[in-house]
Amino acid sequence: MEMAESAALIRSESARRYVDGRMGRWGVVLLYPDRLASVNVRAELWGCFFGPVAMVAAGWPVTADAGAFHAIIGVLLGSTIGRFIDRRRAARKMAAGGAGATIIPLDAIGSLRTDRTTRWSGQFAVETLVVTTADGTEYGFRGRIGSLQTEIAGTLAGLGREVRATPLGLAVTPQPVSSGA
Amino acid sequence: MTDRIKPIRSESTFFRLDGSRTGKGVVLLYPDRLVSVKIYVEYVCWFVTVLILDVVAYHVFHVIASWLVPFFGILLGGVIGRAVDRWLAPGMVAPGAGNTTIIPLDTISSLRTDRSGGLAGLFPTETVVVTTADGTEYGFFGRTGSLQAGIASALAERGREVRATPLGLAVTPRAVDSGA
Repeated sequence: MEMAESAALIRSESARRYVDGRMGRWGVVLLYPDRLASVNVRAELWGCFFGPVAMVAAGWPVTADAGAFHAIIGVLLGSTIGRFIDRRRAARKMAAGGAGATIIPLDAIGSLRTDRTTRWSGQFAVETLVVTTADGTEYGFRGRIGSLQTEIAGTLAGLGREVRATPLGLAVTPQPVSSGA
Repeated sequence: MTDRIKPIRSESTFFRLDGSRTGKGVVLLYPDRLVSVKIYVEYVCWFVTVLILDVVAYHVFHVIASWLVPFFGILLGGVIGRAVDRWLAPGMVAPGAGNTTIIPLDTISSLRTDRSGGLAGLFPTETVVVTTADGTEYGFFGRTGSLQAGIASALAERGREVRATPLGLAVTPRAVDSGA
């Protein structure tokens, strides 16, 4: 079961999840062929804390003066390792049934857009991928999501859904409902 | 002749033409065109910040802080340099000059993002590949974020039909007036 789940995983990204703009939670967003899942994991945060402690402790006897430098390297290294652990833990949680995870079936997605907030006259940008479901709920994923939006669109297209670009993002044509006739 | 119109967005990237690396600079998205401008201020910033940090490290810590200085110099220089590149690039757009490539949005036939895992997914890299009607592939490699979706939205704004496919985004060719 675990093998099958891992093989099906298309992509995972560390992101902070919001529901209708509220309840920011650290975790990992995972894209499967039929659903998007968000799992709460926090190894990256722990890495940011313990990374500098470990780096400063390791470097102290040799380069006591350069402690600040070591602390910054510790944050970078700790968060990178934490991110790696987060992704593995999230995939395993999903393989074990996904208890506590937020699942968004791809068939329920109505639109996709990326909100961009910029700092310093647009020199630094923070992107939030907003996935809107048919019932109007907006799930936001903030972080280094890169091309996740178009990857979800490609997966939806693979499922036979029609996804078109609009000036505001990508719109998913609703699935035709069988009349049962 | 420079182009001082504010772009919709700009990203610092490496350029590829039909798979071959052609330089580094900034890609600018305007409402009607995509422009790549070769600019290398980031490298100058690397050198300057390494030099400054070396002086600071020597005066504050009384040591040349070995590998830490180049590490932080490149990290900090990259952040500053990329911002400077993006600030300068719109003013350096010169149609016909060797440093500028202009891709009219109307010539774009497809968009896709090539992704490589990079060390077990720890450092993934992405290349936005823009294919034009004549088959030329322009690649933009780097932190492009949602550039692909941004181009698609700009195309939709111009009335072009852009559909998602499993391989990326396909742009429906514009109907040509037969003149009849």
